[in-house]
Amino acid sequence: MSFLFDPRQRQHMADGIFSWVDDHLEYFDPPQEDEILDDTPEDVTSDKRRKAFGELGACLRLINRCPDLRDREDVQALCQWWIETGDARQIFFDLRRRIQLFPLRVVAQAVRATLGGYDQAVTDEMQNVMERGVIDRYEISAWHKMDMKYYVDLIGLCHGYDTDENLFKHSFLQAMPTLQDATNYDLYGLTHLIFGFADFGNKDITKLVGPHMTYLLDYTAGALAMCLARCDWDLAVELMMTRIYLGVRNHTLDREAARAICECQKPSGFIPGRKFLAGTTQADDPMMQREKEFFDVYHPTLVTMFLITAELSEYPA
Amino acid sequence: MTHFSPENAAASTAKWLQTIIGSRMETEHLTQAIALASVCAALNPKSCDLLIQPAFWQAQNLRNFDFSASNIVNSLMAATFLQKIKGDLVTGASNYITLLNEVVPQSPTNANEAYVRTTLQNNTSDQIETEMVLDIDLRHLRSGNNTKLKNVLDIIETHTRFGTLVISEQGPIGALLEGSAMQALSKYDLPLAFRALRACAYLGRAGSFVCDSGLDFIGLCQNANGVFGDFDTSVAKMRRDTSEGQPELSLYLSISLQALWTMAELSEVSGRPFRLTSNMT
Repeated sequence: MSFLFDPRQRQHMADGIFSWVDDHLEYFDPPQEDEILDDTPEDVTSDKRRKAFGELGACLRLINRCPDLRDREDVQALCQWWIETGDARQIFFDLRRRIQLFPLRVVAQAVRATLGGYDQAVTDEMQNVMERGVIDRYEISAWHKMDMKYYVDLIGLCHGYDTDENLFKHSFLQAMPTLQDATNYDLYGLTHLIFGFADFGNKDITKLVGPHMTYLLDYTAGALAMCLARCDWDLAVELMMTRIYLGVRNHTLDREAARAICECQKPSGFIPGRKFLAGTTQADDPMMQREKEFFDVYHPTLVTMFLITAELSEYPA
Repeated sequence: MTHFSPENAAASTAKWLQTIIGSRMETEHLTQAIALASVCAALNPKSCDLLIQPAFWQAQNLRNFDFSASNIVNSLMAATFLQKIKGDLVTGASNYITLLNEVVPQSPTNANEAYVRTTLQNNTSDQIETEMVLDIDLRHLRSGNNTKLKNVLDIIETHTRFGTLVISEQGPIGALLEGSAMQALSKYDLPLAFRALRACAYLGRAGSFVCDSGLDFIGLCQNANGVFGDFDTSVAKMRRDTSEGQPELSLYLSISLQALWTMAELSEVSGRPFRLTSNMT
């Protein structure tokens, strides 16, 4: 389907994004896990490179749903790099004790189940961790529960998370903060809940959402327009994806938002983040500036790729 | 659906006005106060009896009042109001209105001129439908730039004649503008937010999810004494930094006028959109 970008625009955006990712692979490269030996395993925390690596994997998993993208040579090379790098960096090292890395590792395992390199022994170890009664019992918001539940379901782990119906009922999606007072955290909560419930477009959530659909459509439209007004491309793109998963097609607001995203893409292919636009990624040292820029812009750039896959995916009737 | 009524809000603000008018005021404040009184009276004539009594305003020595001392919208609101309540206050007001009639072009080119023409024309409270297409660069509504946003608002106010001309659907302009209004509200930039919300109403968006949310916001920011806005910190800072009498007066007069005006434009009166410019003279 094509209801946001015209094919030429989309091709141009995708070319730019993949080229930029390829040019910045060193920052997606996670630490060598089996060489981090001086910290207590329970104290090893996720860092920005692990997060970037995991999010690139999540992006590639969704790209795999779209033949037009999946079959590109640069995408295939990127998938290959992602799997080989994961192996080389021993990303599942000391899985049962490096508990703080568990969420990202579940994402990685779900990605490997799609892209290749899947190892059932890793899933078995993950199940062992789940059965220790910790991961699914943390006091966290419905958003974070949904994020975890989504990926543990993908690799078939048994868990104690609630049903989608109950998670929806206990989430804030039925009564969100007034738009002008909604924080970025609130808006990410909204988008991620819908991503999970809708399996990034694989599930029709009309029945789950029920009578709250009109409210969600109105709220996301207002939030999208507000994010466009403040040039917050990262959240704007997530809200556009959310609206696709809620069933929005060919809305003038979303098409205008798509034009905005095309226009804001930089010649090297990235989509600017909040810090870049505020000028706070500047540094005297060019390498330092490159790194600061990367960690601000990689997320809006990857979610724009998510958006392109959202537009190209086939949806349940 | 919002539960705030501009009529009740106006009655409450009018009571506050009655408490401050007794003392002598600077010309700028007085213009704002009369303009605010005019809005209160337009929204709720019955509950604003005292405000529309000539005697109420006599103490302010309005005979030699300088209408040009304030911005053109406030001054015209004040002048039309004084002309309306008559008494012996009318001469200066009439002269000011005559002057504006002579100098402001018949075909307005900006929002101030459109405001003057629409108010003075006042030949109908019905909205006139037109097929006009607004020439607006949508990028200005997603630029994060308030100057560009204000230019868009100027175009909308001018071309819709403050909502008295109903224009057909203009693509995503209204939806984008709602986002700009919410962004301004999130920064507590009330004058810009209220102006953007009024422009949404001029584009036929009153009653939308965002406009109703804006209307609720305005209703909830009215204080028990009738003024609008939560400015405790700003007022405390003004008092700390100046030795003059009531530095906050201008703030409350201005915001209260904007708030009531916006509530009115976002509401329906007798089942029809209410346009302040059609109810001022």
